[in-house]
Amino acid sequence: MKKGLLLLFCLVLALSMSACSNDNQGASGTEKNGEVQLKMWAHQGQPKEVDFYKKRIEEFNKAHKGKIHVKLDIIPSGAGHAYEDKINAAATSNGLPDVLDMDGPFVGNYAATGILAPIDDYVEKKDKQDFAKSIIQQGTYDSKLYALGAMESSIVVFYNKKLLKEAGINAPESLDKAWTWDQFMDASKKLTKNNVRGLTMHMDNGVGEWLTYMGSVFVWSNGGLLLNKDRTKADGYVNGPKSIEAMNYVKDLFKSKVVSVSNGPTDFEEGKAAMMLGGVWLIPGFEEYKNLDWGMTYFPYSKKKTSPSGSWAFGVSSQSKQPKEAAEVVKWMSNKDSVVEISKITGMPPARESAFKELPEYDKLPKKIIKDQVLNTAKARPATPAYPVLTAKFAEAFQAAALGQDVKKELDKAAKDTDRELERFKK
Amino acid sequence: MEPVPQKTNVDHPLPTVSPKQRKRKNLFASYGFVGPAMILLFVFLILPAILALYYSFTNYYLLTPEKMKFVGMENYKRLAEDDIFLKSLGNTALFVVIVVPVQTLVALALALLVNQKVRGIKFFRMAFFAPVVTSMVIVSILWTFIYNPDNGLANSILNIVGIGPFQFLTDKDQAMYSIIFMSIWQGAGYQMMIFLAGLQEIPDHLYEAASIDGANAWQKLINITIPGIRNILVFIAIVTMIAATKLFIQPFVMTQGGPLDSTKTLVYMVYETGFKFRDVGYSSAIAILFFVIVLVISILQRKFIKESTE
Repeated sequence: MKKGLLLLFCLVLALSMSACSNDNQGASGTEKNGEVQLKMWAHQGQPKEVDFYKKRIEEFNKAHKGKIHVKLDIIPSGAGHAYEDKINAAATSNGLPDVLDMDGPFVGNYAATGILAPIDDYVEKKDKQDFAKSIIQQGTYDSKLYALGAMESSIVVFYNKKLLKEAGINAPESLDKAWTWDQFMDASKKLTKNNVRGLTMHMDNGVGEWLTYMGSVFVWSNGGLLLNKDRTKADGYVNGPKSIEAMNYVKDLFKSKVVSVSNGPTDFEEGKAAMMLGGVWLIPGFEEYKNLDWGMTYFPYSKKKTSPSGSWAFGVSSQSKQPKEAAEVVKWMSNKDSVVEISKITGMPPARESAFKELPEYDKLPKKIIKDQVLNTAKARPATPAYPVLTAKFAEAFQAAALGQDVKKELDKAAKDTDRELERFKK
Repeated sequence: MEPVPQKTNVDHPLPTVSPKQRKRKNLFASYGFVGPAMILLFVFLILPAILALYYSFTNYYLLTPEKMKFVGMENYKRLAEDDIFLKSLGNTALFVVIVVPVQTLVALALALLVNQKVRGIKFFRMAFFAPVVTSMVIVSILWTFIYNPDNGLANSILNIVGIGPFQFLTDKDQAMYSIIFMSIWQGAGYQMMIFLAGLQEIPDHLYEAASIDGANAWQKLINITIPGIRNILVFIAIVTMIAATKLFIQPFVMTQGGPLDSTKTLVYMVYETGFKFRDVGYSSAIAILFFVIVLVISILQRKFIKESTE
């Protein structure tokens, strides 16, 4: 009897506690005085980027006064997966906001698991065509559009003008003259002398998204794929002969010591590496290094000119009760004004073709290189629900290649794990 | 002497509370004190443990709980053939097997050192204890810089002695040992403090008597100090063991389990599988197996210690 009472007491308390935690954090979509109230999450990027999000949402609220009001929360992204962990936790407890910001390659996973709602109905076809193809690619899953971004991204080869001149090397300045893998290897070898490496690839970023973002380009350029065209199978693709060949090229770069796994984060800036495969977001940081005279050229290619793509994008959560209004926010954050402005602030290339016209610096060197890549060679990472596994396993295989391991064995593992994960999403 | 007969309150009964009532009142009060802790324990420890056991038999995917299905022993079958699980188990075992004895010995040595009655000894006690009160995340980040192969402090110091350079965290054969070394350095101060308290409990006259009998320092250590702190030694061995099996922050911050899974531990794998890969079912199975392993070790340890204290 006493025990029973105690248990009841416990249960009541436990229940009341769980009831307390069920706060009103999630998608509100409520109306107040006829004004739709929305919630939005954005990741904590660079300080200037965060300021931009805040400012743009303020402007949105002003422009939609009396109709829509958005409350923006900036969520720390930290090292690793803090922002994603937050989305995952919110998704399971019905706590998602109406509008959320996410890294491009994860759109597929969020779409397949029903976290995102499609936004095709709210985006005009003509407007869609203005976006870089790769941005539409990254936001599309199962031929439905789920996310639109304001920024594109790219990786280029940055080079130290002084060191290249000393070695008598001329970096290509137009896309049709881009370096092939062999030329790139030769240049790297020539530039490696004394205490200077020919190249740095930011292996210090760890086994994160970076290695897939950069590494998949080697596979694609060599004619390989990470998944088949339907994105239902990894075996025979991520570990296919062309992918293995590509990873062996990466392995050779490390083996011939032109690049090191322990290159520091600023080796290029400090003149300890002559070239760098680096993201275009690094450009603003170069200003701090007065002695650095830098230039950039295209991502080297094997069979097909390819460059990486993808950046943070906005989508509407399926928990939102006001998807139409939420889609307005997505459109606002990726309209031409937003795209031009964020591009000016972050140095990231714009996600829209029309925005390039407002940014004349992309018509001449060195930024012309970025524009050429974004509009001609950019390829998005595959939108697949198995992406979290695929990217982790591919990155591990890339790191294994850099450390001189058997490439085929590692890619086989990646294929096996990805296929098991894909199995889960088959109906 | 005859035992004093117990006074009953038959002669002077308390006016309102009968013994039975008082007992009940006490019981209520004691439940009141224990209650909140029990509830917290239940909600945050026991309930999740039961749920984990349940999830380990399902294919629960973090983002689609509504599609959860019962899959029987499938997750456990997968565990049996998972190379990475075996590797994580091995890495965890390596960490425990090295850290528990070495850290205990280092802590004991430090405690003996700082137990001297020398001026300024408090500074050393503080210095050895300082890493313990520093957050493990911060310590890990700092040591990532120290271990930088090109311009880190570790290689600079080793260079003076004429060895190295080492790759440390970027080499699959050195990464785990680098983490082990750092963890011992970080944690030893805690055990040192407990040892120190134990050492100061040993009465001085024992040492004086030993001196008179002509015992040297080593004999004093073996015959007086060690037996004097034996219970503390046992306690520390158990606590360190349990803490060591839970290794997570260091690989999470410093290596993300790499390179080539060489620093992937069981707890890291549970996190990675459950959150990064969203495979809660499989992650729960790993957690349950981990629980069983720790349970078995704890039972063995208890048995072993019971025998030795008798």
